[in-house]
Amino acid sequence: MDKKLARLNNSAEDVLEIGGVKLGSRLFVGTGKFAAQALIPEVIKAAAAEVVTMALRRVDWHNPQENILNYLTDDLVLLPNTSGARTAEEAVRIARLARSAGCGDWVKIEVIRDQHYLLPDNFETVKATEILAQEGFTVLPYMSPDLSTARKLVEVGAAAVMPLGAPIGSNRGLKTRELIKILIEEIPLPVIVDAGIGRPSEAAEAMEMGAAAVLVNTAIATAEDPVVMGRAFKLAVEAGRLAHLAGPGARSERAQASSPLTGFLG
Amino acid sequence: MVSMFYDFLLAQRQQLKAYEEYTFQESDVRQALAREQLDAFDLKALLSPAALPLLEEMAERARSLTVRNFGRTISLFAPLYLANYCTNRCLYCSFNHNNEIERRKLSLEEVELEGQAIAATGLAHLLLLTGESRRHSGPDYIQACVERLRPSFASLGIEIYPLAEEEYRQLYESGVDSLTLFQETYDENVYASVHPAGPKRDYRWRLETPERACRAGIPGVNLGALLGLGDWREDAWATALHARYLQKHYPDVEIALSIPRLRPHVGGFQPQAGPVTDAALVQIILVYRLYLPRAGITLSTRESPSLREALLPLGITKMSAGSLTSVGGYASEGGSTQFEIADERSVPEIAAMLRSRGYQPVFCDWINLKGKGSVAG
Amino acid sequence: MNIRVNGRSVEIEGEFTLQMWLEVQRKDKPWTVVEYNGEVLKREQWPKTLLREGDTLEVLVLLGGG
Repeated sequence: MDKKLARLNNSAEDVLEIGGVKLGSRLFVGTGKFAAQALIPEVIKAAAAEVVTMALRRVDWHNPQENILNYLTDDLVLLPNTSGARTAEEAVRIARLARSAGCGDWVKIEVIRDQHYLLPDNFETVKATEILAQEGFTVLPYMSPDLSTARKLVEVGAAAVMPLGAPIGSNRGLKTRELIKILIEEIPLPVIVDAGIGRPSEAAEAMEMGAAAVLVNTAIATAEDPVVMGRAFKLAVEAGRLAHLAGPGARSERAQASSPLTGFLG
Repeated sequence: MVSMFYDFLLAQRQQLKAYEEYTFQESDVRQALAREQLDAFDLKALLSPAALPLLEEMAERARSLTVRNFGRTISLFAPLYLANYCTNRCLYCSFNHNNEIERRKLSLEEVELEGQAIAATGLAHLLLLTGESRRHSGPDYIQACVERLRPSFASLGIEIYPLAEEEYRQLYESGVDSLTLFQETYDENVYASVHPAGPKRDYRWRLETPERACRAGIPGVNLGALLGLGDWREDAWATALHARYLQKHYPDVEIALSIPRLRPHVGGFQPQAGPVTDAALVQIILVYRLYLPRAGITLSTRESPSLREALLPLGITKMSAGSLTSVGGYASEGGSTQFEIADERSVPEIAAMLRSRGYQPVFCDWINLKGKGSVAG
Repeated sequence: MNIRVNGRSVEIEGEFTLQMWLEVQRKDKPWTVVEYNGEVLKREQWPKTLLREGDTLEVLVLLGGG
């Protein structure tokens, strides 16, 4: 059995390395849309997440707000997103602000002009990635799964690519399955499926395909019991990852052709 | 990103080092067949003796992949040997410097006449070949030949000694749109033993030649191992990895494969590895197709008519037709041949055979617009 | 004097440093981030920055997000 593990080059411990950071967990958790922020530490614990995302927003002048960082322990990798950015320039601004807010060097680029489908603008995303990678950020761009764009992102210094499975918050699963498969095959960076994953089974499917990790927010935050759902996703991601490493079994084959193609070999 | 294939291949071999003595089981082959993307380990399994009982199943898959990606079509081309002067001493080749054969080089006028004779058969894709002699058939000569032939052919390929990137760029500008270059063998020791002298001794320079052509912008690159020189399983494995490596790093280049087997030739060299049987050739074609569904596979007239026809559905996409491996000979008397041809049928005969087997013979599937005298002017 | 804060026009009476004004507004939380005329402004700079007519401020905070 060891031969299968050896072929998967990272036999002993299955570690995901991004921007020099070694991660044991392949489930990234988003912190938006929770009914109560106080739930977040418990969810992170149940999900065993090591990377969590957050957003930078204008202060609401009339309502007191709590800082999300109050709920996050120091050992987590913080992944601020640039949500709200409509151009590369705005994404760069937000990233710099997030860094000065003490989030570290990681940033999830998210540039969205389209407010109806909330689909990312790949062109602006490449521009923002290039600038921020040069400034020393560990850049994880959220993108529509397009091979040419992904190749450009590699060129300009992205640390991973984050193709969407379906529009943000849609909980519709891996609608872009075939395109993500191509990225996994062709792109020499971790492919992290972000957005669209609505159920643990879909997270498992993405991991089985060979995704390096998945990012889940809405599906956990809006579950009836987010803590239990966090744990369900943890188990699904681990199961999917193991299935990928183990290699799928042979499917049953259909009938043989009437005139064999290799009959001439005798 | 600038890692070259030499290092890549070493790393791949290193990774599978633990399996040098491993005996592949049928279950490994079944597992490989179940995977959507084959890796280097699967490739080994499919090339192993354990795959023989599953050859028919692999053949069905290969046929369906080929039809899905290429339709029921076979492209045709002809080789034209421009010169056979050669400074190399490849043990397996008639053009070996030590062999006393008639040495010849076509004049530009002869090149044009030969080209016209080939074009008259309807073929529009031409492959130009020479031995390795910068003195007799240097890049300038090749370029002059390309310019003469440009108006008569839609596509011109070269199968000549390795060039520098800049030289490839110039030939591309003149109208060359594909490079065929066989590594012969990926086993560095065997390579050294069959290339005792001449510039071809430099294994690494040759190994990285296809990459130079890719970087120079040549849109098609055709690889191959001369099957039978070294261990064919290893050589087919490395060839497939080479093709995949180029596809990944140069996604704008169309990568194709050839499957030349050692043929009788002047000199009579017999390699240690033993002959590549028909079954082995079949296995190689099938594995290439399964691993690289989009890659063209070329079958030359080295193989007999009956075998060529049997191999047709297994993944072949391109064939030479009406070929001569002597210098000239289409319009005039040819001299010594590089290797013996087994399928001597004419272009119309090959076309008729393809049609009778339900394939469309394709004389022209792309027109290169580069170079003076091309269709574009 | 008029400045723009988070996209809205705000009237200020008298002289304020950024630090003082944020204190008065009770927005001088440890996690508050300020962009001053398009540039990220470090916390040490706040007491030294005198607000002027036409200044543009973005006052931001980290929140939950995906």
